[in-house]
Amino acid sequence: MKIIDAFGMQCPKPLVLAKKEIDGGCRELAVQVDNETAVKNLTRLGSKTGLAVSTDVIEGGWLVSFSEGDGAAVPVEAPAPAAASACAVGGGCGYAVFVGKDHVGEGDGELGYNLMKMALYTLSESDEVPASLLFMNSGVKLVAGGEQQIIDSVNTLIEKGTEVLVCGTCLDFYGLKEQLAVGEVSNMYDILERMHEAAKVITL
Amino acid sequence: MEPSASFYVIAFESTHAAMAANKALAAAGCAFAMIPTPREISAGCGMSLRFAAPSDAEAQVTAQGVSEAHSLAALYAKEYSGYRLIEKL
Repeated sequence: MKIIDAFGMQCPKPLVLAKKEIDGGCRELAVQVDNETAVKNLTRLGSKTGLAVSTDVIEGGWLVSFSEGDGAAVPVEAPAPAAASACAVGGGCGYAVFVGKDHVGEGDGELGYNLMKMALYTLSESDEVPASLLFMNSGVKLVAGGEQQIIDSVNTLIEKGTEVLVCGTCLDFYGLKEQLAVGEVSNMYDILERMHEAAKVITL
Repeated sequence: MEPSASFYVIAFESTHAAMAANKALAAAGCAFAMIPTPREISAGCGMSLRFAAPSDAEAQVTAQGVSEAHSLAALYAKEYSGYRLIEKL
Protein backbone atom coordinates (compact mmCIF):
# COMPACT_ATOMS: atom_id res chain seq x y z
CA MET A 1 0.00 0.00 0.00
CA LYS A 2 1.51 3.28 -1.10
CA ILE A 3 1.70 5.94 1.60
CA ILE A 4 2.11 9.59 0.67
CA ASP A 5 3.38 11.93 3.37
CA ALA A 6 1.79 15.27 2.61
CA PHE A 7 2.38 16.90 6.00
CA GLY A 8 3.28 20.54 5.52
CA MET A 9 1.85 20.63 2.00
CA GLN A 10 -0.80 23.14 1.09
CA CYS A 11 -3.81 22.29 -1.01
CA PRO A 12 -3.76 21.45 -3.92
CA LYS A 13 -0.42 19.60 -3.59
CA PRO A 14 -1.73 16.57 -1.60
CA LEU A 15 -4.56 16.23 -4.10
CA VAL A 16 -2.20 16.45 -7.06
CA LEU A 17 0.09 13.76 -5.62
CA ALA A 18 -2.81 11.42 -4.89
CA LYS A 19 -4.35 11.97 -8.31
CA LYS A 20 -1.03 11.19 -9.98
CA GLU A 21 -0.87 7.79 -8.23
CA ILE A 22 -4.48 6.96 -9.01
CA ASP A 23 -4.15 8.03 -12.66
CA GLY A 24 -1.07 5.82 -12.79
CA GLY A 25 -3.19 2.80 -11.84
CA CYS A 26 -2.71 2.71 -8.07
CA ARG A 27 -5.94 1.57 -6.37
CA GLU A 28 -4.69 1.40 -2.78
CA LEU A 29 -3.00 4.30 -1.18
CA ALA A 30 -3.03 6.43 1.94
CA VAL A 31 -2.23 10.12 2.29
CA GLN A 32 -1.10 11.82 5.49
CA VAL A 33 -2.33 15.41 5.64
CA ASP A 34 -2.40 18.09 8.31
CA ASN A 35 -5.32 20.22 7.17
CA GLU A 36 -9.06 19.64 6.81
CA THR A 37 -9.28 21.16 3.33
CA ALA A 38 -7.03 18.39 2.08
CA VAL A 39 -9.21 15.75 3.79
CA LYS A 40 -12.32 17.13 2.04
CA ASN A 41 -10.63 17.31 -1.36
CA LEU A 42 -9.19 13.82 -1.10
CA THR A 43 -12.58 12.44 -0.10
CA ARG A 44 -14.11 14.07 -3.15
CA LEU A 45 -11.36 12.62 -5.35
CA GLY A 46 -12.20 9.17 -4.03
CA SER A 47 -15.84 9.41 -5.04
CA LYS A 48 -14.87 10.79 -8.46
CA THR A 49 -12.63 7.83 -9.16
CA GLY A 50 -14.83 5.10 -7.68
CA LEU A 51 -12.47 4.29 -4.80
CA ALA A 52 -13.64 3.79 -1.22
CA VAL A 53 -12.27 6.47 1.09
CA SER A 54 -11.84 6.33 4.84
CA THR A 55 -10.35 8.91 7.14
CA ASP A 56 -8.58 8.27 10.43
CA VAL A 57 -7.26 10.78 12.91
CA ILE A 58 -3.54 10.31 13.43
CA GLU A 59 -0.86 12.22 15.30
CA GLY A 60 -0.43 15.56 13.56
CA GLY A 61 -3.47 15.30 11.33
CA TRP A 62 -5.38 12.73 9.34
CA LEU A 63 -4.73 9.63 7.28
CA VAL A 64 -6.98 9.45 4.23
CA SER A 65 -7.01 5.93 2.80
CA PHE A 66 -8.18 4.86 -0.64
CA SER A 67 -9.03 1.30 -1.57
CA GLU A 68 -10.98 -0.60 -4.17
CA GLY A 69 -14.60 0.48 -3.85
CA ASP A 70 -17.65 -1.14 -5.38
CA GLY A 71 -16.23 -0.31 -8.78
CA ALA A 72 -18.76 2.22 -10.05
CA ALA A 73 -17.29 5.68 -10.50
CA VAL A 74 -19.70 8.30 -9.23
CA PRO A 75 -20.24 10.73 -12.11
CA VAL A 76 -19.31 14.27 -11.19
CA GLU A 77 -22.39 16.47 -11.47
CA ALA A 78 -22.38 19.95 -12.93
CA PRO A 79 -21.02 22.27 -10.22
CA ALA A 80 -23.35 22.28 -7.24
CA PRO A 81 -22.61 24.60 -4.30
CA ALA A 82 -22.07 21.62 -1.95
CA ALA A 83 -19.49 19.89 -4.13
CA ALA A 84 -17.55 23.01 -4.95
CA SER A 85 -17.61 24.39 -1.40
CA ALA A 86 -15.18 21.73 -0.13
CA CYS A 87 -12.45 23.70 -1.79
CA ALA A 88 -14.13 27.09 -1.47
CA VAL A 89 -13.72 26.84 2.30
CA GLY A 90 -11.05 29.40 3.07
CA GLY A 91 -11.43 31.00 -0.36
CA GLY A 92 -10.67 28.19 -2.78
CA CYS A 93 -7.33 26.58 -3.47
CA GLY A 94 -4.57 27.14 -5.92
CA TYR A 95 -4.94 29.34 -8.94
CA ALA A 96 -6.32 28.68 -12.39
CA VAL A 97 -4.95 30.15 -15.61
CA PHE A 98 -7.42 30.69 -18.41
CA VAL A 99 -6.10 30.90 -21.97
CA GLY A 100 -8.93 31.96 -24.27
CA LYS A 101 -6.78 33.03 -27.19
CA ASP A 102 -3.41 32.22 -28.66
CA HIS A 103 -1.87 35.61 -27.95
CA VAL A 104 -1.51 37.95 -25.00
CA GLY A 105 -3.05 41.40 -25.28
CA GLU A 106 -4.14 43.14 -28.44
CA GLY A 107 -2.16 45.14 -30.97
CA ASP A 108 0.55 43.40 -32.90
CA GLY A 109 -0.27 39.74 -33.63
CA GLU A 110 3.29 38.48 -33.72
CA LEU A 111 4.23 40.25 -30.52
CA GLY A 112 1.09 38.89 -28.84
CA TYR A 113 1.94 35.33 -29.84
CA ASN A 114 5.52 35.67 -28.62
CA LEU A 115 4.25 37.06 -25.33
CA MET A 116 2.09 33.98 -24.90
CA LYS A 117 5.09 31.71 -25.54
CA MET A 118 7.10 33.55 -22.92
CA ALA A 119 4.23 33.64 -20.44
CA LEU A 120 3.77 29.86 -20.58
CA TYR A 121 7.54 29.40 -20.31
CA THR A 122 7.66 31.64 -17.24
CA LEU A 123 4.77 29.79 -15.59
CA SER A 124 6.52 26.49 -16.22
CA GLU A 125 9.73 27.72 -14.56
CA SER A 126 7.89 28.74 -11.40
CA ASP A 127 7.80 26.70 -8.18
CA GLU A 128 4.16 27.56 -7.62
CA VAL A 129 2.45 26.30 -10.71
CA PRO A 130 -1.27 26.74 -11.44
CA ALA A 131 -3.65 24.09 -10.12
CA SER A 132 -5.27 24.18 -13.54
CA LEU A 133 -4.50 25.55 -17.01
CA LEU A 134 -7.59 25.93 -19.16
CA PHE A 135 -7.65 26.39 -22.95
CA MET A 136 -10.64 27.62 -24.95
CA ASN A 137 -11.35 29.10 -28.38
CA SER A 138 -8.14 29.97 -30.26
CA GLY A 139 -6.19 29.10 -27.11
CA VAL A 140 -6.57 25.43 -28.07
CA LYS A 141 -4.36 26.08 -31.11
CA LEU A 142 -1.43 26.41 -28.73
CA VAL A 143 -1.70 22.80 -27.61
CA ALA A 144 -2.96 21.25 -30.82
CA GLY A 145 -0.55 21.84 -33.69
CA GLY A 146 1.33 24.44 -31.65
CA GLU A 147 5.06 25.10 -31.45
CA GLN A 148 7.30 22.63 -29.61
CA GLN A 149 8.39 25.25 -27.07
CA ILE A 150 4.78 25.70 -25.97
CA ILE A 151 4.13 21.95 -25.78
CA ASP A 152 7.31 21.59 -23.69
CA SER A 153 6.22 24.34 -21.27
CA VAL A 154 2.79 22.75 -20.81
CA ASN A 155 4.37 19.32 -20.27
CA THR A 156 6.64 20.77 -17.61
CA LEU A 157 3.58 22.24 -15.89
CA ILE A 158 1.87 18.85 -15.98
CA GLU A 159 4.94 17.21 -14.43
CA LYS A 160 4.85 19.80 -11.67
CA GLY A 161 1.20 19.09 -10.93
CA THR A 162 -0.93 21.36 -13.13
CA GLU A 163 -4.11 19.89 -14.55
CA VAL A 164 -4.47 20.93 -18.20
CA LEU A 165 -7.96 20.98 -19.67
CA VAL A 166 -8.62 21.73 -23.34
CA CYS A 167 -12.11 22.54 -24.62
CA GLY A 168 -13.32 19.67 -26.82
CA THR A 169 -15.91 21.77 -28.62
CA CYS A 170 -13.24 24.28 -29.60
CA LEU A 171 -10.86 21.55 -30.82
CA ASP A 172 -13.69 20.16 -32.89
CA PHE A 173 -14.57 23.59 -34.30
CA TYR A 174 -11.00 24.18 -35.47
CA GLY A 175 -10.65 20.59 -36.68
CA LEU A 176 -7.76 20.02 -34.27
CA LYS A 177 -8.93 17.08 -32.18
CA GLU A 178 -6.46 14.66 -33.74
CA GLN A 179 -3.58 17.06 -33.18
CA LEU A 180 -3.93 17.56 -29.44
CA ALA A 181 -0.38 17.13 -28.18
CA VAL A 182 -0.87 17.72 -24.48
CA GLY A 183 -3.68 18.08 -21.93
CA GLU A 184 -7.07 16.41 -21.51
CA VAL A 185 -10.09 17.02 -23.72
CA SER A 186 -12.68 18.64 -21.49
CA ASN A 187 -15.94 20.51 -21.47
CA MET A 188 -17.55 23.71 -20.23
CA TYR A 189 -18.74 22.13 -16.97
CA ASP A 190 -15.29 20.96 -15.89
CA ILE A 191 -13.56 24.12 -17.06
CA LEU A 192 -15.98 26.34 -15.16
CA GLU A 193 -15.74 24.06 -12.13
CA ARG A 194 -11.95 24.50 -12.02
CA MET A 195 -12.39 28.28 -12.18
CA HIS A 196 -14.90 28.15 -9.36
CA GLU A 197 -12.65 25.99 -7.17
CA ALA A 198 -9.59 28.17 -7.57
CA ALA A 199 -8.71 30.89 -5.11
CA LYS A 200 -8.06 33.09 -8.13
CA VAL A 201 -8.31 32.88 -11.89
CA ILE A 202 -5.67 34.53 -14.07
CA THR A 203 -6.73 35.23 -17.63
CA LEU A 204 -3.81 35.55 -20.03
CA MET B 1 38.91 22.98 -19.17
CA GLU B 2 35.94 25.12 -20.03
CA PRO B 3 33.31 25.72 -17.37
CA SER B 4 30.07 23.97 -18.35
CA ALA B 5 26.89 25.96 -18.63
CA SER B 6 23.32 24.67 -18.27
CA PHE B 7 22.25 26.71 -21.28
CA TYR B 8 23.02 29.90 -23.19
CA VAL B 9 21.04 33.09 -23.66
CA ILE B 10 21.29 35.68 -26.41
CA ALA B 11 20.04 39.10 -25.35
CA PHE B 12 18.99 41.65 -27.94
CA GLU B 13 19.07 45.39 -28.25
CA SER B 14 15.52 45.63 -29.49
CA THR B 15 12.35 43.59 -29.60
CA HIS B 16 12.33 43.80 -33.37
CA ALA B 17 15.82 42.30 -33.51
CA ALA B 18 14.72 39.52 -31.14
CA MET B 19 11.67 38.65 -33.20
CA ALA B 20 13.57 38.75 -36.48
CA ALA B 21 16.32 36.50 -35.09
CA ASN B 22 13.63 34.18 -33.76
CA LYS B 23 12.17 33.82 -37.26
CA ALA B 24 15.56 33.25 -38.88
CA LEU B 25 16.55 30.58 -36.37
CA ALA B 26 13.20 28.85 -36.72
CA ALA B 27 13.59 28.81 -40.50
CA ALA B 28 17.06 27.31 -40.06
CA GLY B 29 15.59 24.60 -37.85
CA CYS B 30 17.59 25.48 -34.73
CA ALA B 31 16.27 24.34 -31.36
CA PHE B 32 15.85 27.28 -29.02
CA ALA B 33 13.21 28.86 -26.79
CA MET B 34 11.98 32.43 -26.62
CA ILE B 35 12.12 33.52 -23.02
CA PRO B 36 11.71 36.73 -21.02
CA THR B 37 15.14 38.30 -20.51
CA PRO B 38 16.37 37.02 -17.12
CA ARG B 39 16.30 39.66 -14.41
CA GLU B 40 20.04 39.33 -13.82
CA ILE B 41 20.77 40.46 -17.37
CA SER B 42 20.17 44.02 -18.44
CA ALA B 43 19.45 44.33 -22.12
CA GLY B 44 17.64 46.67 -24.42
CA CYS B 45 14.68 44.40 -24.70
CA GLY B 46 12.65 41.96 -22.62
CA MET B 47 12.79 39.09 -25.13
CA SER B 48 15.76 36.71 -25.27
CA LEU B 49 16.59 33.45 -26.96
CA ARG B 50 17.69 30.45 -24.96
CA PHE B 51 19.51 27.50 -26.52
CA ALA B 52 21.72 24.56 -25.59
CA ALA B 53 25.31 24.11 -26.71
CA PRO B 54 27.98 21.68 -25.55
CA SER B 55 30.57 24.40 -24.96
CA ASP B 56 31.14 28.14 -24.84
CA ALA B 57 32.95 27.98 -28.20
CA GLU B 58 30.03 26.30 -29.92
CA ALA B 59 27.58 28.72 -28.33
CA GLN B 60 29.66 31.55 -29.73
CA VAL B 61 29.49 30.06 -33.21
CA THR B 62 25.68 29.93 -32.99
CA ALA B 63 25.55 33.48 -31.68
CA GLN B 64 27.85 34.75 -34.44
CA GLY B 65 25.55 33.18 -36.99
CA VAL B 66 22.64 35.09 -35.53
CA SER B 67 24.51 38.39 -35.11
CA GLU B 68 25.47 38.52 -38.78
CA ALA B 69 21.91 39.40 -39.61
CA HIS B 70 20.53 40.95 -36.45
CA SER B 71 21.68 43.35 -33.80
CA LEU B 72 22.52 41.39 -30.70
CA ALA B 73 23.41 42.77 -27.34
CA ALA B 74 25.30 39.89 -25.79
CA LEU B 75 25.72 36.15 -25.24
CA TYR B 76 25.46 34.75 -21.72
CA ALA B 77 26.03 31.33 -20.19
CA LYS B 78 23.69 30.19 -17.42
CA GLU B 79 25.54 28.58 -14.57
CA TYR B 80 24.50 27.48 -11.13
CA SER B 81 25.53 30.82 -9.63
CA GLY B 82 23.92 33.01 -12.28
CA TYR B 83 24.60 34.34 -15.73
CA ARG B 84 28.15 34.73 -17.05
CA LEU B 85 28.76 37.16 -19.89
CA ILE B 86 30.63 35.45 -22.69
CA GLU B 87 30.83 38.31 -25.14
CA LYS B 88 29.15 41.46 -26.29
CA LEU B 89 28.06 41.06 -29.87
